[in-house]
Amino acid sequence: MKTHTSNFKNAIKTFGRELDSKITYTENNTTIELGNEQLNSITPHYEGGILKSVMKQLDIDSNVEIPLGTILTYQFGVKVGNSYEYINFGNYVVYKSEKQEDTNSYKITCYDKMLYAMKEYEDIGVTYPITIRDYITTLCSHIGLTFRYPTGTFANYSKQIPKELYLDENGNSLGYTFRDVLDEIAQASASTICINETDDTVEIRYLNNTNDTIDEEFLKDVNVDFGEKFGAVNTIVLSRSAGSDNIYYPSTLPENPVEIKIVDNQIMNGNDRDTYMANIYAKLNGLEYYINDFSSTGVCYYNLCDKYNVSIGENTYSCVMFNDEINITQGLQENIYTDMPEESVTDYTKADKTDRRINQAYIIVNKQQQEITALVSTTQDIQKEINPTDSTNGSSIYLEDSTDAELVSFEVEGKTEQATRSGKNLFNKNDVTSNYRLNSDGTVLSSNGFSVSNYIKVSPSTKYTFSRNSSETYYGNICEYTTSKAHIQRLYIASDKTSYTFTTTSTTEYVRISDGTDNLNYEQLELGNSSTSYEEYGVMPSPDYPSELVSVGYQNLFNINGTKTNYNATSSILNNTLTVIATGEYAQTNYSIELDKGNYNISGDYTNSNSSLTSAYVQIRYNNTQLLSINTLNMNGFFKGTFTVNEKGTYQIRFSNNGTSSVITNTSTYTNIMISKYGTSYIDYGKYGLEVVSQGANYFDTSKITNTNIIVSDNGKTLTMPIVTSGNGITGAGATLKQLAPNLKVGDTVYLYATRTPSTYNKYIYLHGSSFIWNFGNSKTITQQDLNGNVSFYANRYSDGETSQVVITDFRIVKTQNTAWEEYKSKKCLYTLNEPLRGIGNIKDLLYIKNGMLYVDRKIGSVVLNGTESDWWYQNTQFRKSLENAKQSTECLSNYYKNTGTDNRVNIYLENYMYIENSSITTLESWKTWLSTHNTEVNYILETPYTEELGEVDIPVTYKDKTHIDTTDDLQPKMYIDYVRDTQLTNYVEEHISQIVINEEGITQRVETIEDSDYDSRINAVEQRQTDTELTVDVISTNIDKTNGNIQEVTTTTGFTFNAEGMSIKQGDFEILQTPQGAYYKEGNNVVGEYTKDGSKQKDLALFGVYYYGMKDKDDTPMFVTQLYTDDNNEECVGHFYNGGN
Amino acid sequence: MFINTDSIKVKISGMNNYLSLGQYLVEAKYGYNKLWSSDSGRNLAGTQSGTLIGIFPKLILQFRRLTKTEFELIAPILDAPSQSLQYYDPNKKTTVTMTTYTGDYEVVNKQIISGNAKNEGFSCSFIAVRKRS
Repeated sequence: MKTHTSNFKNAIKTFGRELDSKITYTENNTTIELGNEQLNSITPHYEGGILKSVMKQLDIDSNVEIPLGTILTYQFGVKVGNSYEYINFGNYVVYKSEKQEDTNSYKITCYDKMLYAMKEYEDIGVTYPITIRDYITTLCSHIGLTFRYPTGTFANYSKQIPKELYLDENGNSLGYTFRDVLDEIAQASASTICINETDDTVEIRYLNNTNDTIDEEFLKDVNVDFGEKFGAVNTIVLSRSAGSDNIYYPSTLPENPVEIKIVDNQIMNGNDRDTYMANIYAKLNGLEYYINDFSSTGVCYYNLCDKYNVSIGENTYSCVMFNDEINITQGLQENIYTDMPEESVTDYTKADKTDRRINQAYIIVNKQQQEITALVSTTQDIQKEINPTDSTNGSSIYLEDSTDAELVSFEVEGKTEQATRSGKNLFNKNDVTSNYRLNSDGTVLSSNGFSVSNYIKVSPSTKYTFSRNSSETYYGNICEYTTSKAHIQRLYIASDKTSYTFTTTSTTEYVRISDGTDNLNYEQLELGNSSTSYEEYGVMPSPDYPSELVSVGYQNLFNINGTKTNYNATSSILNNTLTVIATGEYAQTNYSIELDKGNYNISGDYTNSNSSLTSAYVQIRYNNTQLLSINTLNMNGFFKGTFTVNEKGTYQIRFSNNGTSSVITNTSTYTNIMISKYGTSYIDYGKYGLEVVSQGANYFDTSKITNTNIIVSDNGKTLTMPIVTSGNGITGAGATLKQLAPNLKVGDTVYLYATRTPSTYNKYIYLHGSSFIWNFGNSKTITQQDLNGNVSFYANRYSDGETSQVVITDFRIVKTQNTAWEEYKSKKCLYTLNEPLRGIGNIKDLLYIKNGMLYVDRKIGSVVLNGTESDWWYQNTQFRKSLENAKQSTECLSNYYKNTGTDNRVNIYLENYMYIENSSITTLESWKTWLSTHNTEVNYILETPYTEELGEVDIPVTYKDKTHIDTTDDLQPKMYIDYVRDTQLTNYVEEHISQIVINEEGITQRVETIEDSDYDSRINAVEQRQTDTELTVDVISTNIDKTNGNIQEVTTTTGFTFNAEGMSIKQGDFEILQTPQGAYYKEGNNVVGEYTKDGSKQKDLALFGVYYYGMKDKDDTPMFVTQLYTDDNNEECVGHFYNGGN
Repeated sequence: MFINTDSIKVKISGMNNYLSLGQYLVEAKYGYNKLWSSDSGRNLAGTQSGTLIGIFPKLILQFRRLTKTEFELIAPILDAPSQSLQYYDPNKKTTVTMTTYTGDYEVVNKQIISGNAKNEGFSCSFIAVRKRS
């Protein structure tokens, strides 16, 4: 919906409403505003729909001429109280203007910036293949627009466009406009593409459920028609070849299909078109709305694609805003209609589920080449069967046999942790009197350096053990007391004793302990005769010692809509953007935020309107002390920093866009502001993020070196240092270790390797954060200080006479010892969740990706009790409350209460209701009061788990050979993956499958004869196809001596020469595919293998038939393959190069 | 509302100062006329619905008998295509200036035969061009 208040909605339907219109534009650097005096009528209107792009139009009847090309803004206002509230209809481009001589006015036609797409498509300068998201981003930029989601996700955003689809081979137009292309992208993304009214960006828009209802008061008493209901959509059909080639989704056809059909979409015209359908289906499944056509007295605040309800009498009609016309004159009338999608009934008996079938031929119209091509599509089923995959799991996964591929499957288990204490330590270090110790009579006396405890309740005739630090220098005393706290005896503990076991007397009920104050953090009094590991005093969780439940998923702790104050500034929030306008010196907007102890990241983007700023910053402050300050002086940029909270409290986030005593004009915006403990990818406040990082073997990204004196070349393999003429050569990288190796974490043990030439000096780097020299070849356990510090390399050590330039090669940080250098490779996937991933015992939420869509199986529920619940009751000393969908008598977790225990003070159980026992509270009223200040979270196992569908996401990848897969989550959740292994078979099959789309006559038939179950035959068929199709036929004039079969000489068109002396290779290396039919191959001049039909060497075999020569697509390796032939004895043979007489 | 002799003033193009009309008037009638849009009517719920274009004040001024000199001063004002008129508006609780046009007016001269012809009193309407803000 367009931004408006409830007052607007009331005012626009009120009898006697008052209207206003404003058109604003700039002419000759002067801002011009036209109002009711100059405007005779305004008509905004559009005709939209799903799966298309929409251009909005604005017709103006004006007494003032507006120059063509002018970009104007239209706002429509209704008087609310004493002033007008305006809603924004966006920006429009003046396209046409006609003088109406009879009325001396101008009829002006304007369109929104979709107008820029109304021109013939041309080369947009992208490299194929390219994802749909990158493609539309570039396309928009090419026509002078900005795509709204360059890093966001939408249906099929990551699908690849393999080649140029809208120009012919020579780059000539095929008659498409950019708007046509946007229409096709709208279909592929199952969306409506339009210009966003607020910022003119190109938006992929999905239906927006406004939950808003209009009633009869908004409708005129004529022309109100609501027809049949369309939907619910349950089938998607992709159609081509004039409807003769249809595929549908889902594979199990509903009993009564209601379909959306997409016809002849060039993006979804390949043999992978079925892979688009699940995502389209996910967006459109269930779509339903009423066909309607009605005149309204004016609503005005609905946007294109808004879903809303119309309530008439007893009936409520669910509608979608697709077509709208608002006639604004002296009065107002809005005409709205939504039609049925174009009639389409697919003959499903002639349609198929997918294209993944052998024995199936399709016809594709290739508009680029203006020809019709037969397409045989066979790959996927075969690939599934013969691609080797493997499974593994762990909280940190390391693969050494991976390949360049997306994970086949990916799952993450939930996990919930909290700090707990058993309560075994009876000594409370926070309940002591300092500078006193116990006297022999049980009283206390002043004594510096000592501390004495309060009375500690114990049992008579019972063994207790007191333990403390081994480096204690003070002696200790324990005094025992009766019920009435009369002194019984004093025990002495020598300073060198680390533990002391004693048995209380038969009348002992209390003890007091005195010991050195510097030992307080180690003192423990516990039952029994032995000392156990130290634990702080107090049962945790308990009402006195709560313990936060921490689950998988980081949060953005910064609430942009939270409490803020301004100083010499005004501020506003719109579309997740904080705008601060400086109105005086030291202008600033401050937020307050509660933070616990820990390390935090802060980040965001900013802009400034004034390029002459001298002081602007984002700061973290606590009690007027500055913890962090980041300069924000550029016109636009991002801010990023880390800070440490040592004390729980209220911290201040300061956005100052003029930090000087001068009054300057500056307007700043801050977007994507995030404060988080460990996640770095922006998520909205209230959501939870999980980052999954795929990382190659090398963690060091040399491209992040910002010191331009260090030359990085060979894809990061070579670092050429500057030549220095003084000092030891230290040369900063201009970045921190965290920036250079973003996926290293605190606690990682890693190795540093590199080769320095010359090798005399400085075979190390310098980590400023820890003032640490890290030698090449050594390992190191990474600390936060290391990550925060800048990294320095070393150039020539001039101070010791080294003057020649230093080159460092193969610089790498790796997790496994002696791992060779490889190019830095990394991909981070962000999964945004509505709730964290929780776990109780073996019952855990499960995140998984299926068909590119993210799902979470929710098995754990959570409730936060704050005393406002109305269904509490008190019974049998228990505060009870119903809890829907909780599994009876199962484990649960809480931040204030343990789930187990023998006393009734702090227990929770779940039956068909939950209850909490807190013996210190005995009335329902006081219980609710307590909850209001002690919000109690309870996590519990669900009786009936459910699944959340969270949309299309990126899939984590593996890299060739070595891949690390980790999450950035502090809890290190366990992952389960299936991945494609890197084996010869994989490569072999991939090479073949990459060639499988062919046109060559005869191959299809060969494949069609294969039984589905005949695995080997499939392999052979693919292999044979390779032989027949991959290679360019290069009939070599072999000049064979038929008397002895020797080849005289062979020369290929690309310069490889073979001669009778052993086929020495004149250019590069080559190999020949090994096939059962036989082949020969060499590497360089070394014969590696030779194969014939019976496995024997036949060095004198004559060469007959055709040889094929070509380049393998995968790696451009030159290769020869021979063809079968029948010899004079009618035996099937294979051609064979003479190998030189071995 | 007429609160003192200077409660109604008028000026036309070419005049430097407003002319107070109180001295020439015997009566002033204030009309606050609502102008409704053509979209007015009843909605589907039967409720009256419509857009108020605005309130267009209309002052009907009854002039006393004017002398020749007085009428020569007033007539160009009444005959001008538009006037700037100030009046005290009880809603706004202040003096409001508005652009007006005037209605037709007729001045009767009697006692022509006796040679003592004089202008009789007459009325003229001043109607706001724009709605009251």
